[in-house]
Amino acid sequence: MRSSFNAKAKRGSAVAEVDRGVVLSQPIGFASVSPLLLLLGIFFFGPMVALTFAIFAGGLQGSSGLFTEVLTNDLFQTVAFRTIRISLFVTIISVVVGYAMAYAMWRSPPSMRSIALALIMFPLFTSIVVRTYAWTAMFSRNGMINTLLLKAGLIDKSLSMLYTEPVVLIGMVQVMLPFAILPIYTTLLGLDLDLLRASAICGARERQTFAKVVLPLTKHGAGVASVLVFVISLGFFITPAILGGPQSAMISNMISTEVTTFYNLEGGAVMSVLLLIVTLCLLFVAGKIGSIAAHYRK
Amino acid sequence: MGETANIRRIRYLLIALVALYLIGPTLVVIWLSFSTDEVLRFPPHLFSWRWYEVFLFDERWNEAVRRSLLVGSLATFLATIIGSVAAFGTARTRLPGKQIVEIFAIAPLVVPPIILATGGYSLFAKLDMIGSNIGLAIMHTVLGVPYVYLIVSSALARTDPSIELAALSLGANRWRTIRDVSIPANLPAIITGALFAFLISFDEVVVTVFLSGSLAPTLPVRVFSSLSLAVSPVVAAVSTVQIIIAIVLMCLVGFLQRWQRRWAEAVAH
Repeated sequence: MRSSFNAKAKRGSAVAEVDRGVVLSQPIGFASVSPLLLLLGIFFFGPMVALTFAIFAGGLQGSSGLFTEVLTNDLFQTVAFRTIRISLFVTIISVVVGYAMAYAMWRSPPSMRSIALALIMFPLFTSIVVRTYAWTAMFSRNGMINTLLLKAGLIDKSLSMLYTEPVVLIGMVQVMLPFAILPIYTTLLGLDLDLLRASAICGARERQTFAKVVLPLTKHGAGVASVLVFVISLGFFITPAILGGPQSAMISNMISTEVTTFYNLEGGAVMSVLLLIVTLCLLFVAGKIGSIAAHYRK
Repeated sequence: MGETANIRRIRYLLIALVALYLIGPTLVVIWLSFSTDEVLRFPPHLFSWRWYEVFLFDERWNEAVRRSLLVGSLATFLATIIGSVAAFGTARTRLPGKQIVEIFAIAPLVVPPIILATGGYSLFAKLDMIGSNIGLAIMHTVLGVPYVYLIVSSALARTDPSIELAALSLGANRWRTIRDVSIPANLPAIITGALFAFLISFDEVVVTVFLSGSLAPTLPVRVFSSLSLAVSPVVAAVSTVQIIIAIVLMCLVGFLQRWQRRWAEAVAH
């Protein structure tokens, strides 16, 4: 008896919850989302279907041949490993520095917080091409860093720093850092401050509170941020193209070269599909971590 | 919470270093753009407007700007309308499968651009749309529409639908309710979404390179391709103009957010 009453009350509140937001009828709802679905159906999923067609045009046997050809290709293996390695480094650096930065902001007074937030948002508004160009101005042979090192007498002649992996890393971390800071900072803002007060009252120092309270409660947020940074890093094109050159090309650069220079659309399509599969799998993992995090918050 | 002045100093130092890393190189570009030198060097000989003059009066740079503005405004127009309408539809009707619409709308943000570039290339080759401004604008719409959808959706979640219901119950028809209540109450968010859609299009390189065909490059593509040749200070001037646009847009977005919040609060009272 009581349980059925509860169920009824629950259903009643659910209906009220839904009805509260309902302004227009269902057919209008369908009509309003259909342009979006049509646009994405044709011009977002369409390209992926076209890629699949390009691969399977030669029949099932031909397509499996394409996959083995790409997967056993030495250059592809080198570039694929390099892509994973660079993305891994970018993720580790971005999340560690991003966490420290988010924590520092969180422990700062509101005025400092908003200044720091504006400084983090600014790169998001600036073109990636412009920011990458700025790094070439820093690292080129007659760039700022070489000039400073020469003037300081630390080196005798200018070093060639461009087109090396560390410079690609520096450029990519700069792009990805806001993507690591912002979600971690949001997670920190969602922490219950009473827990921290309780920890302080119990005599914990800042370091102990951080290790025993803050970090365990925010590690899922940091986990989601890591997967996102890694996934976006895998698909980088502009930064490795400008700062890396052919020796530090990543998978997107190789796909581009295959298609535009060698007219090997099938090979490029196979690599694109592989990249897509990896991306989707990782996002699935991120979704899982995200739902675990949501579970913890409750 | 007791903390020493030392910890605070380390914290501020960290924030300063990260901020320097994030925006320092960009500020150096502004300095370089006023150089009088033929090639990039440090420290640059100052001061001249010559690279700005090259940017302003060179026909190829002008063409790139025109093409970016054309494609960008078309993409902004499409993305703003399609994204806002869909956000409104999911927020204000009882629609089954809202989550699916949401996943659809966000998907272009996380898929690597090169996939859209190669896939779009093979699709456009079949449709004979390579080298068409409209085709390119549509692809930019795909990339910009998630931002419009997310920004307008979150604004709609914060404004109370009871004002719209009140208008309906007072005898306004659906169209008038939308025109006189829903749109004004969420206008700042819609404009913010439009700004982001424009910024995305104005910054897009990868898809644009693949789909432009024989057309003149857009501004970011022209900057990108001139970087792989010789680094001339004119790129610094072009970049400075883009940085100023970014600063203006950022201030505008900050202002719009405050405006939207005030709307939401005014409605709540």
